[in-house]
This record gives sequence, C-alpha cells and structure tokens, in this order.
Amino acid sequence: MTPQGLAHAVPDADADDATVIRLSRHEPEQFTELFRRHAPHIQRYVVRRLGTDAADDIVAETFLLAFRQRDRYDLARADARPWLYGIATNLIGRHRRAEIRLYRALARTGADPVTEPFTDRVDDRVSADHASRQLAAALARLSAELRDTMLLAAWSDLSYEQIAVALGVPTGTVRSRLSRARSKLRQTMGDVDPSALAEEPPL
Amino acid sequence: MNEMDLLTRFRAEVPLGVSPHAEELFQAGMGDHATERPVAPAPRHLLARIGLPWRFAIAAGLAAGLVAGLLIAVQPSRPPRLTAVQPSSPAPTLTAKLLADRAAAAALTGPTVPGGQWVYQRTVTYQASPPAGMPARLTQGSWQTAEGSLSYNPGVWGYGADHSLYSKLGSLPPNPIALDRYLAKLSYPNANATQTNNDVAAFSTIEQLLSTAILPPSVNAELYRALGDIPTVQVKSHITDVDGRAGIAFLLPETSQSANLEIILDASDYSYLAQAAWEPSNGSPNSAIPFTETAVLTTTLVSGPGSVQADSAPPSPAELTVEQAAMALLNNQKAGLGVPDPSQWIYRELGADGGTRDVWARADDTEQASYVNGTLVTCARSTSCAGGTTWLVSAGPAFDVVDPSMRGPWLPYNPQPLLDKLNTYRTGCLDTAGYCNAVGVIANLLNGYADVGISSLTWYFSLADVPGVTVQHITDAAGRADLEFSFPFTSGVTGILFDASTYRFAGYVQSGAQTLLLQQANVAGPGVLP
Repeated sequence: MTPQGLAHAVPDADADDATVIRLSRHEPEQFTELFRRHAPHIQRYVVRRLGTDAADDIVAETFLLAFRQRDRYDLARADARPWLYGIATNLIGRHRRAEIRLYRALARTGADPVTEPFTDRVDDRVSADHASRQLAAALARLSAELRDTMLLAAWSDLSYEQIAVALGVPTGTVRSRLSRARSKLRQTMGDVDPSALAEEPPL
Repeated sequence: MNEMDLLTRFRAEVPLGVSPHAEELFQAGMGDHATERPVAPAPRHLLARIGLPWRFAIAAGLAAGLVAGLLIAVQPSRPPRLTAVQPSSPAPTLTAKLLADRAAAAALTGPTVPGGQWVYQRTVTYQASPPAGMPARLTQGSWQTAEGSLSYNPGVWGYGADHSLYSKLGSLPPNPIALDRYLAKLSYPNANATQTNNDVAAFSTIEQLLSTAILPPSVNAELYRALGDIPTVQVKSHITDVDGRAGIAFLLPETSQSANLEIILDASDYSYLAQAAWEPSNGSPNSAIPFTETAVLTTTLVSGPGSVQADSAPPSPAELTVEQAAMALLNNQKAGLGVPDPSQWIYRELGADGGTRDVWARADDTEQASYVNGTLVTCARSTSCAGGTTWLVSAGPAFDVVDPSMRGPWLPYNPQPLLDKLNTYRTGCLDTAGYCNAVGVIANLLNGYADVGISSLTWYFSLADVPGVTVQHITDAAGRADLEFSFPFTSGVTGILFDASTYRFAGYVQSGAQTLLLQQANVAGPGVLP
C-alpha cells in the first residue's frame, strides 16, 4: 500500500500524539502509532460497556473515524485520548439498549456477562455482591448523558477537563453531571461516602 | 466502598489489551484508505476537482447564461463564502510571491514578544460536519507561551502547539527556498521525499507556526517569504473568513497527499486571520474532508495562564523558572509517573535539624505511621491518636479535592483564584494579606500528598503569583543543588525548595530551618522500606 518513493518520517517513541497526527497527515501509515498507544485502553473501556463481541468493531471504527478526521484534529492538544474516547463514546451510544441489557443481567443474576469470557483468568471469581448488583441496576437507569460522563470518569483515566473535551461540553457541565450521576447512584446504593479529611484539622 | 470504588473494581475485571480481531479490522480499514489515494493522480478536469455541490452550482449558473466569474458556493453544509472560480483565461492577480512580500513587510512592523510571555488567544472553529454532539461553530479561549512551548486550557496543562519546532528555528536558513527545504526536512528527516511531500510539509508547518506561536517579526517575515516560494502555492482573493472579515489567502491546492489548504490573511493589512482545509468528495465518503476553518479572533499578551487581562510586562524570573519546571514535569509525565491510588502507602525519608525521620503515609495522608521509641505506631485521622500525630498535610484541602481523578468539590483551576482559595485555610502564619497561608498550604500539599502529576503545576504557577517572591539557587542542608522560592514572610513557611534539575519538590523552609524530602517511594505498607 505504500506509495513508491515516499519518504517516511518515523515518529519518536516519545513524540506526543499531536506530533504523530501531524506526521500522519502526510504519511497515513504513521497513524498506526496512535492505535498502538491507545487501543488497549480504548478496548478495555468499550469491552467494559458493551462486552467483547461488540467491542472489536467499535475499537477499529473509533480509530478509523479518527484517522479520517485527522486533518481536523487540534494540534494544540498533545494528548489525543479525549478525542479518541469521545469518538468511542459516540459509537457506544448507538448500542445503548445492548449496554443497558448487560447491566440488567448483572443486576438480576449476579453474573457479569461482560467478564464471563475472562473468568478462566480469575479463578476465584464469585458472583457479584449485593452492592455491585445494585450499582449495575442504577447504571441501567441513568440517562445516557449522565452514564457517559460517569463512566468516562470511572473507566477512562481522563481528567474532568479532558472529559469535557471528549463530550464536547463545558467543564462545568461535566462537574454537574457527575454530581447528579453520583447522587442518583447513591440514592440506590445507600450513601457510603467515607469520612473525608477535615478541611482544617488542628495544627 | 462507594460507587467510585465499585466502578473501579468493575473495570479491574476486564483485562487491558487490544484484541487481535480489532487490530485486523483497523489494519484492513487503513489499507482500504491507502488504495483510495493514487500516487500519481491522473489530471482531473477542473469541475471534477471542485466536487459535486459546486459542480451543480456552476452548472446552474451556466444554464442561466451567466459567465462563471465570481459566484457563491451553495454547498448546504458550508457557510456562504465567496469563491473565485478560475475562468479559462484568468485575469492576472496578485502572485504568491507578491503577496508573500507584502505579508513579510507587514510582519516586520509587528511587536517583539519575549520568550515565556503568556498569550491568550480566542479562536473560532467552524466545521461543516462536526462530530456528533459538537457544535458546527466553536469559540474557544486558550493560553500558551509566545514561543508555543506550553499550553493551558483551564486546569489542563500541556505542550504548546509545536514546542520542538520553534526551538529548531534558532538558526534560520538564509533564503526562502532553503527555508522551505529545511521545514520539509523536519517532517522527512531521513530519506528523499517527493516534491509534493516537501510542498505539503513546508506549507503545513508554516501554517502551524503562523497560527499558534507569536514569532519574532523577522522569523514571521521569513516564513511568509518561504510560503511564496513553494512552487504550487496560489493566491485566492476576495474571500471572507468565518468571522466575516475580508481576506486574501495562500492556497495549496489539493494533492494526493493533502486536502486544499489555505492560510488566510487580512485583505488590508496582511495580518494572519485564519487557516482552512477542505477536500471535495470524489465519491468516496471516506476521502472527503468537509470544509473546516479556524480563525483567530483576538490575541492578547497577559500576565500568566488563566488571566485574560492585557498585560505586556515581561515574565518575572519566578515565572520563567516555573515554566521550566512545567516543561520538566511534562517530560517526566511521559516517562510514566502516574497518580497513585489514594490508599497507596508511601515511604518518605525526611531530613530536619541535622537528623532524618522515616514516615509512612497513605497517598491521601489519611493514615500515617512512624517509629516512636522503637515501636511502629500507625494512626488514622479518624481515630483518637490523630491529635498527637504530626500530619504531613496539617492544613489544606482534602486529597479528594486535589486528586485530578474527578471527585468534587473542586478547587479553582486558575493560578490566581487558586491562590486566593488556598489562602483561606489557616496555617497559623501572620502575613495573611501576603498569601502566607496559601504558601504554607502548597508546601503541605507538595510534601504530604503523593504526586498528583500535572495538576500540581497549577500550584507552581500560583507560587509565582505571590507578591514579592524571588528565586535563587542554593545548596541545601543535604548538599543538593536546589532552587529556592523565597517569600517575604515573617512567620510560617518562607521558602519552598525544588530540585534544580528535575524541578520536583525537595523541601521547605519554616522558622529558618529546612525540612527536606530525601527519599520517597511507594511501598506495600507501614514499616516497609523500599
């Protein structure tokens, strides 16, 4: 597939994502470096939300969509993960009912359909405890936007500013969605917030 | 166990890794793409290059008996924009070289901005077909240093647009053609590139430098001249940018390597306005880049990241030092220093009063252990022994508030409001109007909370905002080369020390005595040495 006579700049292993994307604008092959870097995490996120079967297509499509939009990437953003998680989250949104079915199955039976394929790696797995089942039931009831925000917060390792970029909303919206999502989850599960560190302990 | 912990456990049950099938699908998709772009495209008819929507517009115009001169493109997803359609015998207009000369002359009259100066820029980006959930028109403000090394969006630190590129511009080649070759070489350092490769690389590199960095006037001028000497660059007159301003553009026509790329200048004073890219669809939905343009609305010199007030005073030594620290921390972050779990035990060896002390503490400082009379004593903040424990974070916000992993309520993002907020905690010092409480709290946070990564950069920038702060090189009591930030206080923490090469926290000065962080490592539990 490589056109003859084209030179190939090889990105440094420690070049930031923006540099890789910039190079890939002239040399499409460079984009595979972005896949190598981030696909494992994106895959874990998508598998956790939709299970292994649906995940393969969505992970590949995330990176192919990103590839096709790379000329529009804002090179001022050195870290491409918010962009990639945003695309993946949009794609997951097309499978909302499948995702909700998975949470309901876990809530009802205590067996997690998502992790079943990995059970041989976790020999001592036991069926989910009461709190996990309650949480799954609560996740199924969250609105799509609250669930997207909450699960990016819990499962993507993005900061809330990066989540704002991923979802295309102001950071204030991320904060308020998270606070609403957490209070909704707690309403179901009972508030078990551990005592926080006092703001002004004795000197 | 709260909902966040439970969710974390949910994720831990899924292994990290990409499946072979996902990788195959991706590679297959990439392969399809490569075949869509011919290496040497057959010459295409002008109308074919223009793309379907334009073709219909032109056809309609001809049918109505109009001579195709200037017409408004009516692609529905694109804002109305005057587009020059080349008649078969084009009237001679400005050549690219002439436009380049005018732009270069205008650039030379621009201001000289010192390196490290923070710049606040507001831009508007228009995308004809934005990603789902994104608006077509997005106005954003962001900060970066003039030379493009550091960038800041509220709470988010990063490298600037091209921090490595600018540093390479130090010794410019002597003429525009050589500069084009030099810039192309940055993208293609190793082998022979085609002329098209070189043209696209030089054009897009110049585009990036012009759009993001505040360059010295002479460098700016050289870049414009180099633009005029790219053989295939054309001039597109009588256009407006997405903000409605009259412009004139350098156009690099679409090639097998890139979309149509435009650098749009102000039509009257030739200052930089915007960059745009678009590629007519050739029938394949995957190959078209719908029109996208980013225009600079305002550029303001400011006192620091997070500030929007115009302030052209050059950066202070403390600010420049903090910028160096920021670069060092960003570089270290890439080496993989992550934020530990709040419950992670961390061993610290602290040096004070000529002796050393071993302290074990959880990353969030909610539990601590140390030897008292030969016995390891462990105490949690919630238990009765807490009052007798010397906590690393004796006053300040809870780790939940500091930890970037999204628990609230959150501290202000920008350095100055953060300084004001941290100054509301009471550390017992006297110069409260001079931010002594804030400095004491920041010393606590750096000393007592585990590395929260890049988020802690805001603390550094807050320190540079304290009135009267000075920076000096010192040798600390352990013989290490440090940078000391000194504050003009009569009590409390009067100095914070950073390693002079890594810029990581090294200790603090209180009541004239140094407390030094000599060693720090994650360990399995209290009493365990690394």
